[in-house]
Amino acid sequence: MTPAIGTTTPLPILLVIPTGIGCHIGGYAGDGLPAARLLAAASGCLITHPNVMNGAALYWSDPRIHYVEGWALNRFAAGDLALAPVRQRQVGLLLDAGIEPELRQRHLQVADACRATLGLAVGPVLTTERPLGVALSRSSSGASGGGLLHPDELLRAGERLREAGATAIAVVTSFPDDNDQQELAAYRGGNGVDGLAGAEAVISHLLGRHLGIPCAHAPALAPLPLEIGLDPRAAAEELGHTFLPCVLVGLSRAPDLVPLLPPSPLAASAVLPAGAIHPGGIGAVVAPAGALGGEAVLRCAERGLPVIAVQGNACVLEVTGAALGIAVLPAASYAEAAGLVLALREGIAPQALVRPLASLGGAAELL
Amino acid sequence: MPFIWLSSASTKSELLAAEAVGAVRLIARELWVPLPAVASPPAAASRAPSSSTSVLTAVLAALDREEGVPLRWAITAVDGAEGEGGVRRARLEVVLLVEP
Repeated sequence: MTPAIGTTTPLPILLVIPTGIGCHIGGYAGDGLPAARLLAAASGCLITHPNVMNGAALYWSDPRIHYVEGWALNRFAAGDLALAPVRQRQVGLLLDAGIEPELRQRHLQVADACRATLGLAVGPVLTTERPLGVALSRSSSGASGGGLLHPDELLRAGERLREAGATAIAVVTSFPDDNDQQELAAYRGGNGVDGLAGAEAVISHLLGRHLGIPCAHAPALAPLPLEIGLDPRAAAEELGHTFLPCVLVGLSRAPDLVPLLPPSPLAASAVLPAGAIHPGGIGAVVAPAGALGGEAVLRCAERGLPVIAVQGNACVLEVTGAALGIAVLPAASYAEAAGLVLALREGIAPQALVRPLASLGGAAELL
Repeated sequence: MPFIWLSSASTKSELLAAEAVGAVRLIARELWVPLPAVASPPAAASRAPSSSTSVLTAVLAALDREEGVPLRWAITAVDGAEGEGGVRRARLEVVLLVEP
């Protein structure tokens, strides 16, 4: 059912902070979370992806924030999927056979802790038949990338977990220990790109696309030596032995992905599960001003939805609205972006909030 | 190795070698996609679709010409002359999923 439009009605907003491009806000360890919380308060309904929400052992649960992996977020922006909130999920745990035994045990203990302390439904647990073989790379843009040597192993294990009753999957893969030390030091010092993030996105996109259920990824890494100059934005990753708690919490209430395209029966029907968020209801997308070349933003722009470009979140890219020919609502910060979201929700034209305000007289002649 | 990291400069023989390994493969590529000219840079958002309609169309058309399903993609740079009539192109970074 579509609620009556009013100023108290939530306005669904997409928040995109692409991973692996060195965003000053959200490019580290869940440090986009304060911005997400603010935008959720302004909109009443925020749809965002794990890179924004995942702070390793730190997380924030808010019923107004919907945790949607990047592949599904793109499909939602394209109008291919609706999102249906759930009370609880059965989160299957998929472990890479390449994880060291002690580190593997740490991950199982985290899963047990989330069951005992938070009441999450975690399990079953499945280990792949052979190591997945994560490979890392860096593109000419400076963005991190990567993939898997054995993607078929990942897909098979995911299928088995789904058949065993999992309605969401947390995947943990072993990452190479021989990472670029200079790059790692820059990241921990708050001046670098997350070298693992690109590969993480590929892994979760691959699994999510194949299974059609919520999936998210946590890397398994050996502990790092103490770093005195650790940047606060990277600090959440050094609190514990794993990055898994935030993923389990996020997935535990991640919305159902409801197909809207044929052969789905919903393709020809207006009937959706109660409380579902239809892509037709998206009110705007918020993204860093230099990272507007991703699928979700371009899909929204194509539909004529407002693109709020946050100039205060620099990254290694310079793909701006001007470069692409996209009209944007510029925002100096996420605080200003939240103000624009509130204006849209209240039905206030954002152009009315800035000066000079051009007269309609001249524009009328152009029609 | 089923995971193959290829660039736009990869040769035909490299591509054939990649195909020969079978199984599901992930292929990373960088493509340059010609973009339609921008008549005039838009100053403010409106409800009307902007020229991103054609940017998206150009990107999707380029992806359609590639082997495999685009799993993750983004425009990571735009170069060329700005303004009316300028020839512009976008660098597209994409990871393709190729199933046997």
